[in-house]
Amino acid sequence: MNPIADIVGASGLHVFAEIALVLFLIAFATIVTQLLSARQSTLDRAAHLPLEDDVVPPTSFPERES
Amino acid sequence: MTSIDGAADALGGNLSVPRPPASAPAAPSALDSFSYDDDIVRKFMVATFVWGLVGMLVGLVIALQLVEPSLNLASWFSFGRLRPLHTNAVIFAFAGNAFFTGCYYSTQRLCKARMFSDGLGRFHFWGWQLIIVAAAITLPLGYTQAKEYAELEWPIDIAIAVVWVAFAVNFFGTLKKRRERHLYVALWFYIASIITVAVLHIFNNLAIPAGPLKSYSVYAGAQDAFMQWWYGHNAVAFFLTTPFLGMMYYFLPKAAERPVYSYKLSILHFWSLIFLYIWAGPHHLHYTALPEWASTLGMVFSVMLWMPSWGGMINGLLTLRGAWHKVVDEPVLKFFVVAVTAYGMSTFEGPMLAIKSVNALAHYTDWVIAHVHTGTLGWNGFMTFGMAYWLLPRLFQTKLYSKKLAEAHFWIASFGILLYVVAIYSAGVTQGLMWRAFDETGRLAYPDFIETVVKLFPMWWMRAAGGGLYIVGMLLFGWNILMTWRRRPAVYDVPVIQAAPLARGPAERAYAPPAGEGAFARFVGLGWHRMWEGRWLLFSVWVLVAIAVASLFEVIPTFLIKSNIPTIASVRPYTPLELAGRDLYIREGCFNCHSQMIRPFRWETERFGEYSKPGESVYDHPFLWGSRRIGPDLAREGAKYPDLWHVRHMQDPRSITARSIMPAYPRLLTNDLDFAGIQKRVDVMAMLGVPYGDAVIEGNAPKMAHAQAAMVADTIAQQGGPAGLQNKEIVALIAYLQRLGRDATQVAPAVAGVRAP
Repeated sequence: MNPIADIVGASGLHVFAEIALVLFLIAFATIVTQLLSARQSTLDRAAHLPLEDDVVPPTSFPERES
Repeated sequence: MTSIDGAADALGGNLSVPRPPASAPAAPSALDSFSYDDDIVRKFMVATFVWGLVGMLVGLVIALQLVEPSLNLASWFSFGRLRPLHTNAVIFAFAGNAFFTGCYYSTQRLCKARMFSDGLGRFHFWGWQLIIVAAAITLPLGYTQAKEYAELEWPIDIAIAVVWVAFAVNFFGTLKKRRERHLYVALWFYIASIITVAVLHIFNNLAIPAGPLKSYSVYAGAQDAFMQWWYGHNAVAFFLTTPFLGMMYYFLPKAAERPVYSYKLSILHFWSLIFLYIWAGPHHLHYTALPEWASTLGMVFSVMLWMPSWGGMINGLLTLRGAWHKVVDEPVLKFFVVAVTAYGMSTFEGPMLAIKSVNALAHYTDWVIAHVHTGTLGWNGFMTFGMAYWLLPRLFQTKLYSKKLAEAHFWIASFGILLYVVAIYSAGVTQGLMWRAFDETGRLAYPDFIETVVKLFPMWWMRAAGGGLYIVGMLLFGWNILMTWRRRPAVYDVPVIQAAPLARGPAERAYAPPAGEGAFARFVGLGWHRMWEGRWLLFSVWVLVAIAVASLFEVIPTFLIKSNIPTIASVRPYTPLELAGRDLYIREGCFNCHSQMIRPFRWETERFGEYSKPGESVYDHPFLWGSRRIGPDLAREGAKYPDLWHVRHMQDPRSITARSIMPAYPRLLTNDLDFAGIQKRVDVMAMLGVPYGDAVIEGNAPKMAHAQAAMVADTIAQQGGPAGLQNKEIVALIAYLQRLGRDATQVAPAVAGVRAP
């Protein structure tokens, strides 16, 4: 016999998965709302980060004989 | 200027002429000089190819074993043992090394910093390869935990945890010493992958050792199934999806030479995946003995995953806006386009398969195999190839050996994928429809399971041909790597980079709202999110909270709410001999082809018997419900056939069923059973809470096993079979098979540990 299981089973927590679902939807909706308000210039700058790190342009690689 | 705009200055700059963060203008003399560690990237790249080829060749072997059972050449070369080797090799060795390749390359550049520790990088590399070698040795030898994608036994699991921690320390250490304030979205995906994989690996692999390479899961039955598919689904999510999305967000813009279409969408993509993915696991267990609420929850979250997944796919494809003309000439972009499209296809199909009515048809069939291969061959494979072809000239500092060869690779592999998935989708739907078909008299239209197997042979041959083509593509890929490597310079050039260090102090300073704007302005302007992005530790903690809370909300009720797993009084533990037989069933990988879970559908109960109940597997450490039916379900196998039938069937399956594709196991009749080792196994089971009664008294378990083995051997001899099998492995396996599914319909035996009559 597992007393914890008995206690939890009797405590009516069956709906807490649904509660979690609602909490997560709220958190998600918050992120979406705030995201829509973000300034485009900032996001554009962030989006360009991968394009700023090439040290040697690939076209400059020499062709070597094997 | 707003707070965000002020912070944006910190994002600017490039490597040759870096721009200092707005919060702390740096003088040119304060620039740091450093170089990137590309040697580790080269190592992972080569390992990706080598293990990819090995894993795919094993896949081809097992595909051929299905149509030609004589190819099960030895115990270590049989389908049941090689199938997990294939899945582990392509997931953890091929895709894993590909992730590390992309992660080490892009993290250094996005952080404008060398990796935290070269030594940890080498430890990570060699440790991971050693783990793969250990898997390649132990899995064919039959050492397995019997949990899909988590088959490796406990010492290797510990090694994985150690190596993963080394990787995490190296990665997060690099974030800490970075010179770019903003964490680019690719890094978020890496953070989520590293944290979540660690959590999944630890909790799903909790087990008690019963020997140097043997353990029993601490979870049992429905709870073990829940944990396993919480792990299994999220292994797909956080090992095969989020790392590759990180790579997509870095390498696709690089190859297209334009930024990602929408950075907003990428943020949305990230958080919604993190929030939703972790809940979806139970869709792997629809209509099984899992509680209904968990199954429904998994379905709902799976369907919601449609949106972020397609958002990500659209973001990837639209990144090519204005650059589609390049796709014609550039094999790198061709690979990326197909990869992202395959991501979209498989993430459309995944939620669809999670819908219960669709799942009822697809579960246990090859449809799921087709779904998996759309994702792995198309998404993971092609992302890897695209990244590799882009990286090869940069890593080996010479031009790619042959662009034409890369083009040929693309077309051959694409055709191979098509051949593969068309064949296996057809096979899956065929299986599902045949299983549920009734004739006009209300009887099963295909009562012999073998009918539903042989029907698939043409499709399985076509699948093998498709897989073969994909491997041809791999060989071209390998040749290109080798020849490009041979053209490398005698000594690699190591460019020295200069960049301004980050200003010391809290990240908030960089994102502080300007005068006149308060906290509300910062909130609305996403300042709080920008602050997280600047603080890697806080960001990582929130990711951990997101996945941990979801996991706990979903998993805990299954463990703590008693009504979820109603007990059945007549269900007793396996006898010591049956337990030994169960371990042989696990060793031979029988669960790779046979399920032990009858769903509550008429077409299942007519074919296999009464549907399975959660209370029937409460002593099953681990659960063996299976996920695929190449052979019939065995949940009610007990007492269905005489003992001698099983002896003959194991000796030569085709002597019983002419077109059976099951490997033969004649060695079970000659191998001696390890009676001495049974005591330890019983003791561990008892430690896990299985009521073994007197069997735990030292020496009792082997004694009880010997007594039952003698009874089984006598029965076999009386039925006209070979005599003298009482010390052989076959009697243990038969004892186990004859026990399956009988407890729930029989009166409990008077003494625990005694075989039910």
